[in-house]
Amino acid sequence: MLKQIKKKFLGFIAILFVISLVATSCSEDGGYQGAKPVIPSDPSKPVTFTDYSPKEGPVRTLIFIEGSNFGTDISKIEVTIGGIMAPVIGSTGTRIAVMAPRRSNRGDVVVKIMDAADKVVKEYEFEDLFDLHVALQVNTLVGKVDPQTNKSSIINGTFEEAEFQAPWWLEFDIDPETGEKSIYCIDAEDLAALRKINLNSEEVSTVFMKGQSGAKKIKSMLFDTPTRDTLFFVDDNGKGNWNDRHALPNIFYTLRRENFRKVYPYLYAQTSYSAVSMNDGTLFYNTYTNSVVYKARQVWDAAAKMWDGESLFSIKANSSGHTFMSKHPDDLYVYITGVFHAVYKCAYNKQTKTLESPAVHVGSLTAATGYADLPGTSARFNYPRQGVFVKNKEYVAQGKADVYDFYVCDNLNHCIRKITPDGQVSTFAGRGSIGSDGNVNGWIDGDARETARFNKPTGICYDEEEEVFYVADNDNKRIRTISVE
Amino acid sequence: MKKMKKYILAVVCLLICTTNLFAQQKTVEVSGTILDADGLPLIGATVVVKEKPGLGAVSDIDGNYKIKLEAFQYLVFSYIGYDSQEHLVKDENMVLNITMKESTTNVLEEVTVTGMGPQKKVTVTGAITTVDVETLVTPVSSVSNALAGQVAGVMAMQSSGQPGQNTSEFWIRGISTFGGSSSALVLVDGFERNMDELNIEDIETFSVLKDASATAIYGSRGANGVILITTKRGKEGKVDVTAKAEYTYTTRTRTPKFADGLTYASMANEARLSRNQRPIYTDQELIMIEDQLDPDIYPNVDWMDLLLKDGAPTYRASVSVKGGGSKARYYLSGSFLDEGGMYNVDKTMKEYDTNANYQRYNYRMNMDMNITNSTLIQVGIGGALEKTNHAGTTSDNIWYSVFGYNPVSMPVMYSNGYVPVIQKEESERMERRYNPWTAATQTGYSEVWKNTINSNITLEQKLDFVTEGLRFTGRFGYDTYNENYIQRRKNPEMWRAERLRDSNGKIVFNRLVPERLLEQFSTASGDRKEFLEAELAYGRTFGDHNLASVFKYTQDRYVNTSDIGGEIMSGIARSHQGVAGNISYGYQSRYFFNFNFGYNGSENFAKGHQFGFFPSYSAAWNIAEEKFIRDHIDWIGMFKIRYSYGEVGVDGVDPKKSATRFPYLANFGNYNTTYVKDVEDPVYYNWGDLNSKFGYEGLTYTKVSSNNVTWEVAKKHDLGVDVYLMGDKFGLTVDYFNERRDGIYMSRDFLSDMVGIQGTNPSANVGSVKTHGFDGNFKLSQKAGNVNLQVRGNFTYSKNKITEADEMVNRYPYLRKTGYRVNQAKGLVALGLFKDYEDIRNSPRQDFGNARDVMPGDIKYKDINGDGIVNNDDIVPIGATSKPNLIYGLGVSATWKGFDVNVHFQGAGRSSFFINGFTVYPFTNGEWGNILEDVAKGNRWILGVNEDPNAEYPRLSYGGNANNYRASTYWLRDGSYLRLKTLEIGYTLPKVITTKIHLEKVRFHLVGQNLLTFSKFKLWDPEMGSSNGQKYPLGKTITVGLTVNI
Repeated sequence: MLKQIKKKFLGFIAILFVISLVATSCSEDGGYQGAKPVIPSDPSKPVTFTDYSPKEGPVRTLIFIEGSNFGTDISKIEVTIGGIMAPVIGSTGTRIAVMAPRRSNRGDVVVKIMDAADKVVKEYEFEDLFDLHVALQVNTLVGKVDPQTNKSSIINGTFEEAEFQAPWWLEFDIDPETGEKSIYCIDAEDLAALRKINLNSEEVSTVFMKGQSGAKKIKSMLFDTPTRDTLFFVDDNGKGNWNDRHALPNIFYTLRRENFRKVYPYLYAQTSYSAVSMNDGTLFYNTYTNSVVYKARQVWDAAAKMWDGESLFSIKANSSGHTFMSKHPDDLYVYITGVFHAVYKCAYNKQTKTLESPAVHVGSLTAATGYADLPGTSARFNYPRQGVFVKNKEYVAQGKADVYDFYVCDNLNHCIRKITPDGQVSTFAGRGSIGSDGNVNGWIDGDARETARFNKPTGICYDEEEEVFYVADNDNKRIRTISVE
Repeated sequence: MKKMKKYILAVVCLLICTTNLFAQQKTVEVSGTILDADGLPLIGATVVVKEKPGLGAVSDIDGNYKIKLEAFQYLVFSYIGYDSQEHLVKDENMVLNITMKESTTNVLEEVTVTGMGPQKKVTVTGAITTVDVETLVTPVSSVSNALAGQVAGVMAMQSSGQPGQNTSEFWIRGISTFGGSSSALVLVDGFERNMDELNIEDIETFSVLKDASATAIYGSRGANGVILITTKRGKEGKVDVTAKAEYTYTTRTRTPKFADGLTYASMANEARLSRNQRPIYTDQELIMIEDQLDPDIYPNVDWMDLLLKDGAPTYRASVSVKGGGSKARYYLSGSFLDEGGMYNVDKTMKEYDTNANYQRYNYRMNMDMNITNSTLIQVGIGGALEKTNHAGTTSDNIWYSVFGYNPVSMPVMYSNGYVPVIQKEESERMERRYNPWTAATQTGYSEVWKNTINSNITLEQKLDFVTEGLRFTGRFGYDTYNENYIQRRKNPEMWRAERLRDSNGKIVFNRLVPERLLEQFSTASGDRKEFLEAELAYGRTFGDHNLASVFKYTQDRYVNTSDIGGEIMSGIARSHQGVAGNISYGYQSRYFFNFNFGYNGSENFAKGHQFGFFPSYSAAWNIAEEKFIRDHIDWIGMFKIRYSYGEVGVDGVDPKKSATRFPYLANFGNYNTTYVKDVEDPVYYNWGDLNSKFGYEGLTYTKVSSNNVTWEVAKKHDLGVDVYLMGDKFGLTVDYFNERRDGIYMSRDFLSDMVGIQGTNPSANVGSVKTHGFDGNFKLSQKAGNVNLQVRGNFTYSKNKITEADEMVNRYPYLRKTGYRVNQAKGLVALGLFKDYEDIRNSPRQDFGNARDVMPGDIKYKDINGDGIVNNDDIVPIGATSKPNLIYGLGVSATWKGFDVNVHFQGAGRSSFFINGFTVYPFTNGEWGNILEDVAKGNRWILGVNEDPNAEYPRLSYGGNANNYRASTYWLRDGSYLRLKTLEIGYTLPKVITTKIHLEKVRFHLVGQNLLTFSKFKLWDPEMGSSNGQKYPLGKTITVGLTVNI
């Protein structure tokens, strides 16, 4: 009996075993198998070329080269356009995708197909020339970022190796003696260092570090007009109350003859974010509480033996916040940007040397954020920061009174906006490459509107001679350029 | 498999022990032939010595048997389908020829298990469904999955197919409250236990108690119906060993299908263009996607295909041994289940298993001992060990991301080996946005280990010496449950490439998620249940009068034993106490009367409201036993009309949630934002000046006491009829039920602010729901030649209506809950799509989002209240509820010689659900969300191409559309379905062969489950009731198996 039972169970287990074998023999293929392997061109077959398309377009245009037996290994394919190596993106064997390169001035398209041993199997030049379109392009001037950590720090050196912490505010400068062009850059909001970007030697250097300045949180800087021999730094010293106005300096200065290296206190007043120096030497600065604008050195405080500023007006009634002022080159106006998400405009009275009360030029009356390219107060901004006035030759030809357009970094809209004197707002650069994720920020060079993206741009300056904009692309930690190529 | 072998060997060892107990002594030999009534030999009939288990013989091909035994013993002859016979053997060798008689079952003798114990079916006055357990034994992982369409009165719905979580939700006679719990009480061997931890093979009886008179004995806990399960026990006779092994291959019933990369990209462009936005992809980029020229930036990934295998294996095995003598009997069983997960797991990861696997071991030992002639002790120990595996992140996260990652958003891996991710990890919840492959294979793994032990002792003492028919039963149960959870979590560094390459053709990567090294977390929880029952039963027949009575005292405690936190409340045992009784009187199998009561207390009510008395009455009249019928229409076996009325109390408070415990107690706390709606800054008394905060929080009620809360009362009526015709060839039971719940426990959410309790609303017995419906089943057996045919069917239909609820006064009655079903679907009424701008101008303004954004091809709604504006005031009840209101099943089984076939169809109806979410509403979340193939290939409105006002999908939009994407009849889908739930083909080896290999019975079977599903809704399995399909799909399985009896 027992033996029988045992036998039966053994038989039973054997049956189970067979079932389990059947079950597990269904092999489990599937899952991620890794990248597709690439193969070079097959040397036993001819390489043929039929055509390429499109035949024209701006820099970075995707061009498809059609033919056969190209291989799928893109390291064995070389394409030059106008003698410049064009980046090969991919190949199916019958179609190669390449990108139109920069700095190419001829249009000859040459394709080299190599075999596994890097020997050229076939070199072919298309008859049709590629017509490179001229377009407004955004490029990256300088700023290295560690791709692994997405981080950067204050590192000086050539344009290839220099790094920025987070460029914030820019001033363009031509040295009156040497004629050397450079950009001064407040690196990081509140100034971690003042950096000098020498455009001639293509080098970045540090002028002074925060610790050497004695300042608290430098928010902006400006050259004095008209001499440009002094560079002022406006400090958010944290003293918002009128009674604390003599506690700390709110404006510092440096001198050109000292290469702007030594920082001296200039004015003592409440916390400030920006200042403007008019052509007649008048200085205005703003403060936090009720966003009041002051005219500097107007009232003598006998007790403290100090000059105080004269309170002019609130930029926005009963509203406090960080605001930034920009002076019109012809001293017609001062534009004020910042936390109220609008560009305010104050007329400058050259007789009384005062600023008139401001009005919203473009943007929201109620400090509403948004993004809208519409005229006047229908337009919407999201933290407009530094702006720059640029002379428009058309206006000069038309004989207009105000011949300057205002270009402003629209910080959280990740773009550069253009504002005409009559209040038309448009997007000048950025927010390109519409993606499926709906994001408009990023680091993409290319056509200013179609392709390029910025990431929280804050500072901007303009080289009138070369017609190049320089943008402090804060979150990308890079200096970008906008110019016609 | 290894573990299983070990287990089987252990059982074999046990067997050896038990069989050794019975050694043989001096013997006589008996031989003979066993024949049936027609004189044909019976092959494989068993001959055993009474009270000597393990000693027996089997008749051979000619019906001959031979057996040696001790003198003066009884021989028992038995054969399935025949009445057993006993014969005394004296002290000499003898020839004993036996003629077996076919057993005839009499309906009147059929037994039903009720709350008071087994009872003859004819005497039952309450509504009770007794389930033929054989029909439940299908290759499902848990018993609840076998209920839908098998058991009249039970509505069941399976909403996930994930191993370890693929149990069904079920309700007896539907949902009849919107207050606390609506789930039924499940009693296994008399005590409240989890049905899903049972091994199906261990079930002996399964009954469903539906009306008030049947559940009265369980007091308040039985208000939502009771399921009674008893496990198998040993029987006097030969040792019976049954072993069963099954292999199941599981595929999926319906998995949503998604559009490929190129279709996705073109549709994204279409969506943008049709709303006057710039397209996303240029023509050249579409070529890049189509040709896969740059798989890093323009990938094309079929995530569903990548993540899911075609199918997964399941192994199942069980062994049981039973037997015993007149003094002691035993039943022993063990089973093993291994369900494989459906995910594709990387081959490189042998070390740990991230797949969704589930393993369960069950064991059970039931012993019955007669200590004296009048004392019986029953001991039962059962348990389950469960182990579930899943990936480090949760299964829901994996499904969320499979549905979220569109084919062109990300490659599986960048060509430089970087792991892609779509979005920055901004919070813990952002794990949901890992790409599916990362989520399933790179996030570590988790293990859940559950351990249940159920033990019970029953003492049954006949008290005939006091008065005849009196019996005392004491039951004690002790269950423990432990759950351990270990999570090993990690994730790789994750990146996202910039939208375009840089001017040198290089990819610009942004690191979004830093690497997380392997970390480990563990939690444990456990609970303990103690039950005590004392029962005094009396049953006696005086001539034609039959009197029976039961009085019962019950108490139970449920305690959380670990992980109870700091709150004292969660450490307090949840206790119940109650007295229940029953008196029944029967006259001549014709008239039956029954009175039941329950007197229950609840810990959740204040003094004076704690106890409730709930009586119920029932009566039955078996017309078939009336003389005029019995004499003239003898083919009516039974024709019984039943009626019952009763009240049942419910304490309304969900026992699993500590938040609702003790509603009569108040809590105090600091007044802060938690209790004030729509205020962001903390609210406090400010002792400082404006803008210089110096505040103190005040003291306030954080929970207001609800002193007068008391029982929610269900008043239940049941009218039923049981009919058996032509012996038991045809049986039919139909019940009409009507229930009214009053005093439903709910929060008073609409008190005026003037009351000053700031949102800490008290509770009260306010709501009221009416439910009515039918359930029934029939069975038809017919023998045609060698073929035995049986047709079974059952259905349950229930409909409820809220008659009172705590809600705002509304000028439109259709906006209220009152007057409609519990969980009634509500939405706008769609009139198709707008034809043109003319059509939009001539229609009422649609006030969702910006009314000016409505375009031709957008959904046009009906202005219900006629005020010229379509808005939230035009939302009306549409469709039914997402849980089915009708469940039915129809089965046919046939046996022919060794073959048996069983076909079972199951269906559900009267349910509807809205489909929504980012897969159904294309491009609502921008790039997050796949597009269903049905949208891509189906009839959708396309500007200038297909301007069909009756298209299935409206004009596309990118980033959501406030007008189109809201609950309306346009997105309401019919949840009814009919499916071939089971198709079973079995073959039993002829006795001739089994006898030769010394086996009693060998059966091979092939079972298909969910092989066919018919429904109007095609996108995913309608049974899941899922609005977005983001669930582990239900399984379609093929099983091969083998059962061996020794």
